[in-house]
Amino acid sequence: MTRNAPYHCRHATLAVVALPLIAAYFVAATNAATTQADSNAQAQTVRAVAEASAPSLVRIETIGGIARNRRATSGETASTGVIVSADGYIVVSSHALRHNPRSILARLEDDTLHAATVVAADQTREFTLLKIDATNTTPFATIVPRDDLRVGQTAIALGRAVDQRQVNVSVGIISALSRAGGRAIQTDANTARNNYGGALVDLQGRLIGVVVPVSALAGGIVADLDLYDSGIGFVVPADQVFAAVDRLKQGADLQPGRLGVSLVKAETLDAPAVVAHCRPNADAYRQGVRPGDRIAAIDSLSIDRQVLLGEALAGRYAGDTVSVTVDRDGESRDIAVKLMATIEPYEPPLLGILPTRAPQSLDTGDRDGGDTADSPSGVVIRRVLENSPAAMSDIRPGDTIVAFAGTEVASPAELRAQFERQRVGDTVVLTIVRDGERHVLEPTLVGASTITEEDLAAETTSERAVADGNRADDKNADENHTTDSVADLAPLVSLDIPGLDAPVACITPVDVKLGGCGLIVVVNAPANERPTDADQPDTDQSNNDPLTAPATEALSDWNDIAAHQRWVVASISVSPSPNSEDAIEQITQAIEHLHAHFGTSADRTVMAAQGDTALLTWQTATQRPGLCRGVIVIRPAAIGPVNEQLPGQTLGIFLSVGADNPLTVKRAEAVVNQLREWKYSVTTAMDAAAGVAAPIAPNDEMVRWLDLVDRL
Amino acid sequence: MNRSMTPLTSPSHAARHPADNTGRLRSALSHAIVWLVLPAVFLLISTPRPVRSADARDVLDRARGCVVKIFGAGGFRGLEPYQSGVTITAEGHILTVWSHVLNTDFVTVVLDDGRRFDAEVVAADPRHEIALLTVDASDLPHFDLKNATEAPVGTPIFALSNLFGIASGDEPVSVQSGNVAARSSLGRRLGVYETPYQGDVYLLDVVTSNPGSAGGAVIDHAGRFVGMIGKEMQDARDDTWLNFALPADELASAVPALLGVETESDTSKTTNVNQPVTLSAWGLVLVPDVVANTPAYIDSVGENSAARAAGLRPDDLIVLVDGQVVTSCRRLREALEAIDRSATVQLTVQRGSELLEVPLRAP
Repeated sequence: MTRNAPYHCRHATLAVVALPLIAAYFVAATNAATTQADSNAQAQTVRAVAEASAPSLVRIETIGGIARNRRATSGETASTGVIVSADGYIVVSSHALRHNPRSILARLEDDTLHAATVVAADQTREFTLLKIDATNTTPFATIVPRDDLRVGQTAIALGRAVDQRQVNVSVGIISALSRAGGRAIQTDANTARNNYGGALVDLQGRLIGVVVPVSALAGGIVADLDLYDSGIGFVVPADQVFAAVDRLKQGADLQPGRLGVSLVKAETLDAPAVVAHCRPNADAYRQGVRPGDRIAAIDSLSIDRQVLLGEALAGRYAGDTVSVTVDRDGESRDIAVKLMATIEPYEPPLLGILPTRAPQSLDTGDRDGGDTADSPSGVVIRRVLENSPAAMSDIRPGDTIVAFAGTEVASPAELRAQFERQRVGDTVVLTIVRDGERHVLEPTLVGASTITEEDLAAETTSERAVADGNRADDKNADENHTTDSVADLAPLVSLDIPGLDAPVACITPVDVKLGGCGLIVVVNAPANERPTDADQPDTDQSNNDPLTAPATEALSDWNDIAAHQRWVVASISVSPSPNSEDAIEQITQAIEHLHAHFGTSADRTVMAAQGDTALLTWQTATQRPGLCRGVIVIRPAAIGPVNEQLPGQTLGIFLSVGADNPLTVKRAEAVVNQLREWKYSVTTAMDAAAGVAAPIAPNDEMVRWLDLVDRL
Repeated sequence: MNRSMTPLTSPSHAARHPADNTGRLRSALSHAIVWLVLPAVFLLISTPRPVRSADARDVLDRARGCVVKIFGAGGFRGLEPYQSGVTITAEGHILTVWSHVLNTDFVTVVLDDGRRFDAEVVAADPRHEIALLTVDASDLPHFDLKNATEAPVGTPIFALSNLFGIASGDEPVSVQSGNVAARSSLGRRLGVYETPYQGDVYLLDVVTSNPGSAGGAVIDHAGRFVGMIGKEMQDARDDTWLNFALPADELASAVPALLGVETESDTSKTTNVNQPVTLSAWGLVLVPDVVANTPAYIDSVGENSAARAAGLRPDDLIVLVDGQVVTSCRRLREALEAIDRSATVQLTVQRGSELLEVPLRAP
């Protein structure tokens, strides 16, 4: 019913019959001999058009509200609205309501005043639908289909903002048919404030569209009203207005639809739209769009340059479904993707267990000794986090997870691979073996960040017992760590790694060859670039062996943790020029080399650095997602950029700031908040050590954090 | 910059492309008629036509002779030392806007033929913000204010002025093309402007608010004087610039006084109100006026007051006073100051989404 209202109304006869005649006369008159006749004819046409349109134009006045800035129109400025139905629906420029007025008054042509209520706004096209309590309003009789418009044809902008008693006019031409990704028509008719929310009509009085400020659609090209009198005006096409009005009547805002991908940075203007990152919580990701895919088309529109993707999506609403054609490995596939208004950052799900890190050989050796033929391989749980889903579904330390959602898992790596397909809120089916019996448990995963630091910090005695349970000599012997550790350590290993200038010093547990070790890579600036302590005279460095002097000293503090929590700790030297691709590549290669040498894996790999190298380390971790599981940054000069995590490529952060921190405490807080907004797990600590030249030493907080790095 | 020039697009020129009209005709008429009409349309499109007819050129040649370049004080703090003016008599009377440019003993007027004159400021009208200069010349081409015309909304116009000081020496002033967008009073309705002038102006859809434009002429396509480009004026609320002209009829009523011709004394348009009406006389208290734009919500209504008798209630929002929108407590008080206590005032209040008319009279 209402949909047809704009097309059939009592003014239709007048507009359709009379105006073409006037327009025809005008056209003829422009060919007439005298300029005066020209101008008279034009003036008459313009007035006739204005008169015919007058019943559909309302004056909008607002009361109250707060102007957000000086350039925003305050509540004292009148604007114009266009009637779009016979039952009191009015479209206005959202700009006119930006100050969030307490009262909106609409004055019709017959001078009656009505209180208007906001129905909903089209956020992509910057107009708002109002409703007044009236049943005899007059919408425009006819709209011009966009396909009928031609650049150069005369267009008249109409408003009622100047004066209630008359329609104000501005005559121009249509300057362009598609702007702002097809959301707007461009005109050179003056579309300054007086005409915002008003109508653009053709010489026959047919509605071309609704005037909105340029800034509304230009998206950051210009600030606010800057182009208001430059001969550039934007008009939302009438057919788009009416299509949106039908949806807006439901009462919900129409929001821009987002695909949720970012593209590989374009080196050239005609660079293809290759996906660099697809947001895990976007429907595109769920439907299978992945980094590396080339977006070839959206619906039927071919995307052969990156800029076209933005244009193809600019006019689309959240909730719309588009067909995305992607090329992957030479194959083309169409994926139906629902556009979204907001996309939450990806948050890794958490069960709340720490898998065993005992060497597999030891582990299975024990089991074999128990001579149960069907004794499953699986993942032994060494600790359950307090208040976690695992704790609440009665998973206990010592349980062995043998299957995840019906799929057998033999190792922590296999369990992790299954885990990465889950989302926060998913309920997973776990099969565990406890005392030789199978149990099926169904915990519901929570967001990793919902576990508090207190829950993480709380250590139960049972956890400690099981953590050490696979190592008989350590059982019930916390106090003995220090004395035992020396014996547990292999001698210092020095590795030559291609790409690194200095050999890399490493300490490892004695049984490192049995596997199950994590890797801590301490990234240092080269000795000659390292700030030196003034108290330490150069003459003290009598030992010129690069390995045994600073490197040994740097690693000696890590002995305990290397021995007891199965870490390989390596100290490498890389020149910390920020954003250095070379340095990032050096670190990456070093880590891969260490993995190959010691049999460690990324699941339990951590980088640690302080000062200038901290930023480099952060950038390495974020630009090589999946390279490590956590970073320790101590007194960083800066942290950034912050990218979204991907499933399987999550990153835990241990941030230590000190009083002499180059990153101010306030700035550090801002960084931490930003990281938490992106759902990173961040642990912060105050750094007691003040000396900048002191090597990184593990403290209690850091040790606790390291112990939790491989939690699931 | 937000005050760039609008491209000189001629609406009538653009309208000569009758594509949409021909399409409509073709679909509506039978084939036979189409074959009759098409050649005519073809002729209509293809006939070579100058951008402006000879008449237009004549009109502009004549009019440009009546617009002068004025140079005077300024040149610092963004105040340009030049503006425009129009000759209104053959004997060297030049009408222009009153501005800082005239604030010197050495004002120079340059005609379109390059002749330079020392000008004397003989009179100023602060209410219209206009001034009259004289130069020692005769037989000047000029606009006759008696033959000036009114320009209804939609009238195509030319605006002639030395915008941005582009024209120098014997170069005539620049011409812009546009239309009359509206005619309205420069009062509160349009915006907040630092000017004492509250009368009617023509709003133009061409950007005439430029340095040096003030004092220029607006004419219709027949060459008749329509108005004088006003001084640059910015809305204090949103920094937008107003493109406007002082209407010829307003100028015609002001010029005789400037020329020293006796006229009937100009009685002030604002009537003196001896005892303005007050909110307290009605028994109304508004909410505290704490922010710049506090809406005029009623906070309380006195016992046995006129307001209570009229049915007003706390939380009603006063939106109109005698039909004029009042956007804030301050605007309401300003509006009441102009109303005598003895008058009956028509208040419109919003209660929820309902608008109520409430006539009020102080006891």
